[in-house]
Amino acid sequence: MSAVRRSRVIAARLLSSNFSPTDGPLVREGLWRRVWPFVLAGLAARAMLWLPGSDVTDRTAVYVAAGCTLALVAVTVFTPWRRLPVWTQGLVPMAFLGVIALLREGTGGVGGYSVLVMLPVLWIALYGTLWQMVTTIFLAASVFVVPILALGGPTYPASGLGRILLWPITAAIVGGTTYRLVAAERARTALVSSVLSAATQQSIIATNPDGLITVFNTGAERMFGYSAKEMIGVSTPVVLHDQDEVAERAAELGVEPGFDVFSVRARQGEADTQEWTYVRRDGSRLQVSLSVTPIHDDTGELRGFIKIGTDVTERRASERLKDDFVALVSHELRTPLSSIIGYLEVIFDDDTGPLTPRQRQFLEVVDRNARRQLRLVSDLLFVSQVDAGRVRLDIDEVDLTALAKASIEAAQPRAKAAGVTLQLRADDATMLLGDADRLGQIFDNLLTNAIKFSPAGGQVDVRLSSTVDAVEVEVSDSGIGIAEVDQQRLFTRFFRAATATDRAIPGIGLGLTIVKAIVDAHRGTVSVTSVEGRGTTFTVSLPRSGAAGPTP
Amino acid sequence: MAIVLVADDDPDIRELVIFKLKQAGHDVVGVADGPSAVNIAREVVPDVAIIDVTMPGLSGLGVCAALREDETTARIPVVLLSARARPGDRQSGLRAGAAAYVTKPFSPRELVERVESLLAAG
Repeated sequence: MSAVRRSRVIAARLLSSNFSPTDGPLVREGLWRRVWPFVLAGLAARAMLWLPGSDVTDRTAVYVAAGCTLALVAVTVFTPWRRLPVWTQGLVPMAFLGVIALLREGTGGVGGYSVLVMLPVLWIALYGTLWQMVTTIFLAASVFVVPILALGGPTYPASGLGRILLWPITAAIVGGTTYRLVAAERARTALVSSVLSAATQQSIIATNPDGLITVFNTGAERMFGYSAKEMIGVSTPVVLHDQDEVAERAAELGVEPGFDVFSVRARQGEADTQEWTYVRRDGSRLQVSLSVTPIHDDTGELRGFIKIGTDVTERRASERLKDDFVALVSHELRTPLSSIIGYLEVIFDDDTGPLTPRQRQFLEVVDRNARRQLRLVSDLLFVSQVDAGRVRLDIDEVDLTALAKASIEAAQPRAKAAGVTLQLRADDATMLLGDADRLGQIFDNLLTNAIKFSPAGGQVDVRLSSTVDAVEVEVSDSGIGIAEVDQQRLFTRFFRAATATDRAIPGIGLGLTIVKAIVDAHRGTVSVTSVEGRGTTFTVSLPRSGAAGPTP
Repeated sequence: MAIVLVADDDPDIRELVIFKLKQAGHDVVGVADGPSAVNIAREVVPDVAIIDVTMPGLSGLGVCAALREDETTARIPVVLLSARARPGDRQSGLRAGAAAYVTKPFSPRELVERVESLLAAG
């Protein structure tokens, strides 16, 4: 392993320790790492005695202190801490207070050693419990107070009781403040880590800016079959992916097929949610919807990325199943209709044995109903395609006026039967790029509604007007109108306005959903204005190059 | 007058198309599955083939591709018939080499007109 890589691994481990769950206030690991400052301080204090200017008043006390320090080091190193309760570790710094007391005793209460009480206090503040903190402050006070009470003030000319008490008071303030900060930090860490491990259905992976994994939560372990231990500080998330897909997207983005594939868009501050194929440890594949968010610190510097993934394999599979089902059903429903409509045409065209007017009239009813059912099947199929986000358009130069004329002509018989007049007003610049069949469907559906909801003697106006970039279509009727509360939900699938259901006007509530889907696919807009009892106007605005324009 | 091959596993649709083509004065051979469509096409080399997409044995797209591969049948214009209306179906039909793609339900009259315009062009 190269030095650079090794240092990156260490950096990642240090970073990740912020998030790793704690076992309690005092973790068993790394006791020696935490204790060595005190041991070192003890040894340094001892060494000071050999420097000139040191004033040893009681040699025995100093020797005992030296012995105690050595014993403390031995205890720290050789005690099987792992087998003992965690709180026992707090005894080491407490015992160190005894060493300090002996040192002060042996040097006539010199202030220089008094500062050492801060070390055990800090140690407990960092790693200990609240009770140990209180005990340590009390012990620190004893270091100063007990000798005075036991031996009397005059033995320590440099410090009276009042002055000496400043030390434990300062220690209490420093220790208390530190303890409070550490406890807050610990609570925050515990919250973060409990959130991370609670999210068992989501994979949460954090990385440093280079992509090295710093967090690998329970959800990620479950989803991919790798443990946090083998991923954190070792790997980048790239190894979890389908490599061909990574290479493909890298080529699309114009970056190296590595971690950049995931971070390049998040780095630019764009929200990035995409679906990716992952490969589990056992080689099985899964589809994951993945959101990548950059992590910035207070100074705005990039600290890494968080990738949150949701397994969508099953959802995708069931969507495919639904697609296949809808396609099959629509095929099975269309086939018999093909025969019915086809044979009817042959009968109508057959001049060898002409039909009686009544026979012809009845067969026209059959034909009309078969076509109605066919339209319903096509509408359902289209809606399911919209759901799947798979509306495909055959884009060509289209004249909306011609489409409007064709739709009006087709609707004329129904309008006549309902006693409704249809009128078209159009200017001559109504060409645009779009799918002629689908755009025709907009007119069909809007006209069907307008006729259906108009009273006998009513009028339906179709107006086409154009601007430089867009063509606007207005279909107005003088019908029953739509209540304001219903206007919001008008384009929702299967929704039917109260004015329609109250009058038992037939329909299933797909027409406007389809209009909206087609308009959306052409990047246009559709809106409605209506007054109940007076009439309704639908306005569709279609950009001339909309459907062919760039994907937003 | 021309020879037309009609392949559709739905007998009602097959008979309908055959009836209209015969009425228009053409010779018609009808088959009900993909492999027979390919075999008959090689044997009689029709002037036009009308082939359903969803057929047992070999799909209409498969038949289309098989006809393109064989030199004797490569020039036969194919009209694909389909009740499948999913996006991309038409494109894949035309990619397979079909001259026209007609979705069911269709107007038999218009289908015959389509066939005749293909015959006139060929």
